[in-house]
Amino acid sequence: MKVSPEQILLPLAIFLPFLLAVPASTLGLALKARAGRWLAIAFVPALLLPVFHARDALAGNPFSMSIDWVPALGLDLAFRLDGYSLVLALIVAGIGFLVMFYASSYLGKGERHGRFYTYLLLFGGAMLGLVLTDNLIAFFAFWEMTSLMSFLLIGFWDSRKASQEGAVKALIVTAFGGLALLAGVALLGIETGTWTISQIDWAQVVASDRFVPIASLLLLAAFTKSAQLPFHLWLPTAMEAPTPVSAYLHSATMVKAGVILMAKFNLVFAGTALGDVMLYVGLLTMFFGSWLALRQTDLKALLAYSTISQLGLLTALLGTGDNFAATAHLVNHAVFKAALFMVVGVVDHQTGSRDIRQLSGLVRVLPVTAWLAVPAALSMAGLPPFGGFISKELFYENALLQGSLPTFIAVAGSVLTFAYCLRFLRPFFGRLALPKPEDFEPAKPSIIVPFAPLSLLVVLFGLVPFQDTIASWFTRLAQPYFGYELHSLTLWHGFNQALQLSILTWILGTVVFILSRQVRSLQTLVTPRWNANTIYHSLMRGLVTSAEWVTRVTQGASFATHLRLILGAAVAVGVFAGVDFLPAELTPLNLASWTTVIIMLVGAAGIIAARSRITMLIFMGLIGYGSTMLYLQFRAPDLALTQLLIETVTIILFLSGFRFLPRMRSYSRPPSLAGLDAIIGLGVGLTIATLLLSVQSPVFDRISDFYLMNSKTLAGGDNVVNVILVDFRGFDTMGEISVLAVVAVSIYALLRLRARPPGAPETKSMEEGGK
Amino acid sequence: MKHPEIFFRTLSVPIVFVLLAVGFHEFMRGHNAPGGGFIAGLIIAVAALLTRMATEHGLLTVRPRLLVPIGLFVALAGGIGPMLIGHPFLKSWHGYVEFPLFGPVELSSALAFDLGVFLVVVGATITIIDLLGDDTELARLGLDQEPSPVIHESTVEEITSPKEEY
Repeated sequence: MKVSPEQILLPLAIFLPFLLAVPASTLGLALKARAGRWLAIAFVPALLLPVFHARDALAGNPFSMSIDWVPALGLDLAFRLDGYSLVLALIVAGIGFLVMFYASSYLGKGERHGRFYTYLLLFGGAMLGLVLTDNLIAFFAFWEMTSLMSFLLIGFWDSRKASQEGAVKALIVTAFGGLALLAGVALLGIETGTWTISQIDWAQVVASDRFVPIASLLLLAAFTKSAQLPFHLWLPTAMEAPTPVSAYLHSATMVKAGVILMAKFNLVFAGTALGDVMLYVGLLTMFFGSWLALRQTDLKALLAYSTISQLGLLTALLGTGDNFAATAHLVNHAVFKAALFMVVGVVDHQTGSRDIRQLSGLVRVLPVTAWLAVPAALSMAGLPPFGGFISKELFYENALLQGSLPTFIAVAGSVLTFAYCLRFLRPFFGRLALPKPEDFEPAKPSIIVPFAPLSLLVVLFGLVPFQDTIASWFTRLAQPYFGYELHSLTLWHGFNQALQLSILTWILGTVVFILSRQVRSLQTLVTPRWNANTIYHSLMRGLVTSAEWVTRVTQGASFATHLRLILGAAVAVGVFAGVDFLPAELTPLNLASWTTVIIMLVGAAGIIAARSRITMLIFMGLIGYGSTMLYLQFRAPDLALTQLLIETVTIILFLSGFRFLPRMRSYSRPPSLAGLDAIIGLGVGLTIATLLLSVQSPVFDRISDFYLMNSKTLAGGDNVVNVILVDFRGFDTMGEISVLAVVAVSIYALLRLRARPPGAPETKSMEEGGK
Repeated sequence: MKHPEIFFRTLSVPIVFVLLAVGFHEFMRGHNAPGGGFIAGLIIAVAALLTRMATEHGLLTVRPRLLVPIGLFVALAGGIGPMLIGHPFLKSWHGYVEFPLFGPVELSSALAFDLGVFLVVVGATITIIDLLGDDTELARLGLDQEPSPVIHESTVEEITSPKEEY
């Protein structure tokens, strides 16, 4: 079989980051920051994907391949290189490549580089898998993997309280969305009968009864991941991550996963009421994000809220169904936002501060950085001649089509966006001011080089070539996937309404920036005392309080209460199950059996009456050996033998265990409680009896006939019980002995391993380097 | 259990031998008649405990808890073995093998799996009972002393008359 380079390239593109994570994690502390430059190779195959596959994708004939996963369930690791996936893969791999370089200059000497690059590579691989996969389950798995890596990277500086809280918050919000995605994906798969995304018949989904739950669940997942209101709260605190992480995960790629989800499944949402939900949630997020961005004094926090705002814009665009504009802006945003984060990283790295109030005139000391920041920030502001202007125009055109209210919110949000972009640029100009001039270091070229190409792209997206800029490579590539109408991406559209709105935006934005002091006091005035964060915190507090309450009530000091609750629940289940009970034909008992039953009843009564443990044990033995006899009478020698041995071992166990117990005491309980206990006791007995009898009822075909028929022929054993154990149900037995092993180990741990005295060192971990 | 009765001590030796023989027998015939790894494991565990109680030193020279992972490994190997030659997990093979003295003995590949079950059962049972029967453990918990008349723990139900009974 001849293997073409394409067939190797695709698996390599997805799995190379995972593979390289192995040496990165194994080397651990031995890894220097420099290693990032070598590990960046991980993203090269993905960058080459368009070279080989763009032609097929443009022809609407995407390359796809699948690797068997669980063939019995119809699951496979299917990947499909359609145009949109290629665009996204290019963004993920391209920015990933640059971020690896950037991190190699950004991270200090004492960091745990091995861990950092491992997480980053795993994230890159997961993200590439997410954008390239064609299987619903794999999509979910990669989605969750990105959430986990995000958690680990936000908490990278794990000794900092803020990092811990930020990581936990991000995980709680995105994992909540992940659950919604799981449910949505499961429903989608059940409804359509396929797990292959490209084979889903969307018309069938829209027409089905499950449409609303499916679409709502998917939207919920997208909103949490892409930080839409009211789930935006996790993104600002995620900025505790090292800046390379923020540039990669929390601006350019991972937070786009929600947008990608909405875009991939857009055929479901657009044109329905859910499209309007997306439009308005997106617009409000955009407005609110920029409103909050304007309030920030930390450059990185400003960018975080700006990311929320821009994601809102993307969501709104997808809500209007304009995938063309959404794709154009997605590319634009990824490029300028990654560049801006890296700029902030440089400012932070060289001056030791990100505070807008403390910094000024940075262009004098960081000239290259400052001039690279300008086009990126102005592109975000929507000024010509940069790429952001073109997509902002497309956004206005869409908003105008939607009516006056969306247009109004869009303009208001854009005015604030324009103002915060100017605010972002302010520290770079004016008189030089640094918080600690003595600590300042000039930026090395190696830390600037990674974002220089991004800033260059921002300019190219606006200017080159003038009639239809190179940003349209991306929109053209994604076109066969969405089937939208291609417009040219050019600065000049004529003096239309959108341009008039843009000019209005620039004027008002400048006014807001100039009146920043007044605006700020207005903002302080209208800010309510509660926000998404306070709600989150009170929810978490409530969760802890209620968990404590439940634990206190159900697992208090009294063992009797535990038993009442557990057995009471069993009775409740029994009553529920007893409704469907069908009596079966029962074998009549002979005299010997009756005798045994009476012996067992005596044992039961004896236990109740007994006043010492030894007596109880003897009566329990009556019941146990009685069951052995019953098994024999019903010709089940295997069971009888097992029961006999278990009974014997149990008695030895009890005798050894008794010594640990305090002396028996008798408790008096009020008659009402005693009555309750009697009812529960009888109920449990009836429940078990009912369950056992209902197993005998002829509702289902009995499987024992199959075993009896095939034991000799298929497994070569006459003893059906044993054949079932080791052959037919061997998997179960494997599980059972594993449980047995776990129990033995746990008891050993409980009884033998003493608690370490406080302060004693744990087994030394591999990576205990300082940070 | 420091001074086992002389009868018990004397009788335990033949009993243990009988138990060992029965255990082996149960194990080998398990595929076709009552028996198998689980039952044989319990019998051997009882034999080992009997020796332990009667003679102060165990039947086994290995630490019983080591048998647990070994057994798991054997069972897993018995399951994976068929996969190596392209059959599903735990696919069994059976046939007759000629042994000297014994004549033809039916063997089944499931026997390896059953051996794993046997080892886990023996290891887990002896480990647990050993731990509970260990006197140093009592000392650690402070239970080797006569229980103090003071009642430490209080329960939700009111303790009205703590009577001591044996």
